[in-house]
Amino acid sequence: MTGKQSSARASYEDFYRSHSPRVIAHLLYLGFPRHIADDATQSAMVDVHRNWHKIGKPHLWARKAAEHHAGRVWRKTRNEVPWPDAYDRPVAEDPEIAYVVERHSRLVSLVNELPESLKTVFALHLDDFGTKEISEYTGVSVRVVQKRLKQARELLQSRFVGDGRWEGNR
Amino acid sequence: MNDDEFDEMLREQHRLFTADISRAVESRPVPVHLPKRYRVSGVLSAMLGRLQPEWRVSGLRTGAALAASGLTVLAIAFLPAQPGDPSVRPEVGAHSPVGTHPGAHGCPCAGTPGPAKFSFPVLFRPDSAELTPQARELVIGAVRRIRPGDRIVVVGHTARIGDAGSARAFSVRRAQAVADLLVSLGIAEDRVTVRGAGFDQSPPGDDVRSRRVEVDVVAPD
Repeated sequence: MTGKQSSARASYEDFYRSHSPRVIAHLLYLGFPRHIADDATQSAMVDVHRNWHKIGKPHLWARKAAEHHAGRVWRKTRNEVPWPDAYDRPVAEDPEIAYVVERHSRLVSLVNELPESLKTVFALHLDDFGTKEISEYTGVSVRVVQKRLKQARELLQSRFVGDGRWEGNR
Repeated sequence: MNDDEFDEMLREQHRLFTADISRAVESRPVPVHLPKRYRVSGVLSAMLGRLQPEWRVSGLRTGAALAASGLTVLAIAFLPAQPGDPSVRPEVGAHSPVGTHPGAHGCPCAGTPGPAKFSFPVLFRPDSAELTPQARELVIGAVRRIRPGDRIVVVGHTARIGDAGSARAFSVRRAQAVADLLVSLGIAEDRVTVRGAGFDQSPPGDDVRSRRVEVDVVAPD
């Protein structure tokens, strides 16, 4: 391995470590099941590695690729895999991921419940993306992004109880 | 709370969420793309060369684990059980008053006559007392096994979140949802007993199995 290749590999590894959890979270916010979100992120990261030198913005590219993979798997399997049942989980699912998602299920379900047009915008906003980047990702104007963010915020605020707490996940 | 504070609060929750995911996946190897020509040779070299010492170590570990589990099985099979051993489950009705239901899941079914003929759990989504389609199918399937005269004890449970009073009230709502479905399927209302256990019988931590309703079908007197 040459010096250039090894530095590219190191920068890809840094990218993977910092971004793969955020891509998994992004897919979960969009409503994909846990095991699909996990697998699609891995596939997207392999694609990122393959195209590492060609991609200008890997953080956006990885999310787009992951959405593509997850959508494809979801369309194939949506009629086969039932809603996750604690007594009969899909074998491929990582139990640690399942536990984490269950612990943060309130946040995930709140974003899931947003209308489709607001979900992606707000998921990216949560992940510290600016309105310009969100506009580039979604293909709508900055003004529309700002409007959608405002709508999403209003919807979420209506579910907010106060004192930094949501109504509990009983 | 203004918009910026609200956003910051949500982002903080998001950061905690991603940090937890990061901890869950940090031990995984970094996935990389291998060109086709490297795949076969890579797999072969991994099998024949680099991984051999690790295989030896993992082989030793597997052998030790198998030996330990074999010894445990022998110990369970041949050593007599201690009377105070919590792992020893009492026979149904052995330590309960004659003619009362001991509660198949440790749930408070006191006063219900006879042991349960069969029981099943119905799971709920977080913060919801509505039956999912899968839960509905489960109940519909179970109703076919209920005989005329059987009594049904429906006990709701919640996760260990919030205060005990509201959890108990919420668990009753969950139990009532199942009871309503049973009644709509033809079970006489006076044969169904609805109770809420709150989170008294729930496992520690935020376990998905906490959000359940236990349905015990009890033989007539």
